[in-house]
Amino acid sequence: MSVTGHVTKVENTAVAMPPQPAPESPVAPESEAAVESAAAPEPGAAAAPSPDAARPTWLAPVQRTAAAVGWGLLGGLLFVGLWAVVAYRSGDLPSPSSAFSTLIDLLADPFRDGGETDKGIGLQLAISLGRVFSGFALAALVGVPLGLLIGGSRRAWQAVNPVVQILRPVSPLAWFPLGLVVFKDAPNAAVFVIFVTALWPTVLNTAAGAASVPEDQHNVARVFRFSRFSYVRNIVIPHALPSVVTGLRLSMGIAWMVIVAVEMLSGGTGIGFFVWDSYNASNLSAVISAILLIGCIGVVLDCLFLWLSRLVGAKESGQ
Amino acid sequence: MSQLEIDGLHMSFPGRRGIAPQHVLRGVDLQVGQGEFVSLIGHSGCGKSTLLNVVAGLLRPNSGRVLVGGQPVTAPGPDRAMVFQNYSLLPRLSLLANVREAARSANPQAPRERIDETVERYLSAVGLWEHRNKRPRQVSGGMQQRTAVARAFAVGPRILLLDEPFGALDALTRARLQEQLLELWANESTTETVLMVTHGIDEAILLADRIVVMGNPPQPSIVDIIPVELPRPRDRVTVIDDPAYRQVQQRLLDLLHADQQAVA
Ligand SMILES: Nc1ncnc2c1ncn2[C@@H]1O[C@H](COP(=O)(O)OP(=O)(O)OP(=O)(O)O)[C@@H](O)[C@H]1O
Ligand SMILES: [Mg+2]
Repeated sequence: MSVTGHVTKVENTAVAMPPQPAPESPVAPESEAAVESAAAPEPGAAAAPSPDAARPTWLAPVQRTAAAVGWGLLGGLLFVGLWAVVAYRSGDLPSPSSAFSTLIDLLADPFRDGGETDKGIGLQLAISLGRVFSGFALAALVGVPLGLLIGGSRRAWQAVNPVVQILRPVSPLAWFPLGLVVFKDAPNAAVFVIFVTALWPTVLNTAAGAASVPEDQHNVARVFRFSRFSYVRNIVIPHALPSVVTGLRLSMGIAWMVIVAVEMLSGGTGIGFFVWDSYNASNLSAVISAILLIGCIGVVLDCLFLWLSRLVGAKESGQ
Repeated sequence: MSQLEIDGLHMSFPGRRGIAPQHVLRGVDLQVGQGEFVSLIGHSGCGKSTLLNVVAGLLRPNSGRVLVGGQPVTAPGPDRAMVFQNYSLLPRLSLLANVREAARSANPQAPRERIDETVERYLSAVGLWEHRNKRPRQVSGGMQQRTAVARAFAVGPRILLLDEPFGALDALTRARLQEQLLELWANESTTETVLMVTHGIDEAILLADRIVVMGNPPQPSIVDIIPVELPRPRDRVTVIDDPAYRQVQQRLLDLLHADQQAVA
């Protein structure tokens, strides 16, 4: 079990991946935005009145949060304003007001099921989420053990790495035809595509974590003659856990992006189909509503994994 | 026959860009008898840890060999346990689990109760039983070091390799642990032979039967081996007045001073 950093190169996989929501993206939760504005001398923070000596201390964070929310709202309004102007000029794009009213209509009865293709947007989103989680769970089930294996053994790494490196840059959508042939069923092929999507970041990050076990912990295992099982359980897995969660988070981000594209191909159900179907029905307001909802769910998913990674990260520091 | 026999050990670390190769162990010969307590002393970087790692089976020497009980060492074995210079506890495990995992791995056949008993005995011996559920990062460096000592003893090795086991401790705790170490070595455990790296001249004289003085180039790896002929048990207060103690102390000071001048 020679694990002397032969996988260290994959640490920068995140760079080579399709763009995913970064933690510092402007869609960060409010608390983070507040912290950021406190750290960096943003215009917003600078414009806030300097704290008076007589003022109670709890006021400062409240002010910072209020400022962050204020600037966020202003940015949003500017964006909507720009959109209104463009929509007015082009004449083809729906205006913000018509999009919002469509959104309200869609959300009025989100779980309506009128059979076949006539489903509420909530139902479509739920179907897509179901596919994403199925494919993602399968990828985690396969990817984490595989990652631990190739991270812990140079030979396994050398055997698996070429295949992974060639398949990784391929758009997951290219697997869709193969999925169709094998599963003879479009929804299952979509789950298969998500599985492939989520597999690479999970495998590579897990492997990088497992391969970076510090020399001295490795020596402990050797001197005290840990069994292979004990070594993996007590040293490799605890050490790799934060990287595993990072890999899962990247996977989830990409999977949520890819599902829309897959469902445009697979048709039938799901939010991607909803977008395509609305376009065919020339209902661009519905397309824009769907975009908004997809984005919101993406943020929630990312926050979930961010929370999870803080949980395991905190564990690492022994708290 | 000596329990531990080191023959013509040579060990170099290859150079890299900007770093010249280092010939760290330059023909080390040493015989350690069963039940002997040997201290290794020498300036930083003279290869004490390297020698211990070779004996532990963690490093392969370039030439020469190590025999334990007549058998050549090629890998770590259950007959040797080590206290690492940087403690090397597993950060995600509690102190208890750190000791227990080692004890269990060393005796996979032993029943659970016996393992638990051993673990409790040695953790209590180093005064950490109340802290057993803490993680290494939640306790002080000295407590981590004591856990590492407990872990090594819990394995029940015949040869104990200690790399500056009391370096991070205050004088009082160190004194207490030195007594405990002697007690464990002499009466309590299966450990027969101890090889201990130290920076403390007084510690070396107080504990060891023989002191191996190691040197930096151009001196040979082993500059001298000084027997300590003081009767046991040694009392740390009165032993200082023994003329033999003074003699060994002076000899060590001279040798270490000469080595330092050779480097400078
Ligand atoms: N893995 C390694 N690769 C290259 N050089 C090494 C390696 N390990 C040790 N060395 C070199 O070998 C020499 C001896 O190291 P060693 O750790 O044995 O010293 P030491 O006597 O234990 O010192 P200290 O008292 O400071 O612990 C040092 O000069 C060090 O730079
Ligand atoms: Mg050392």
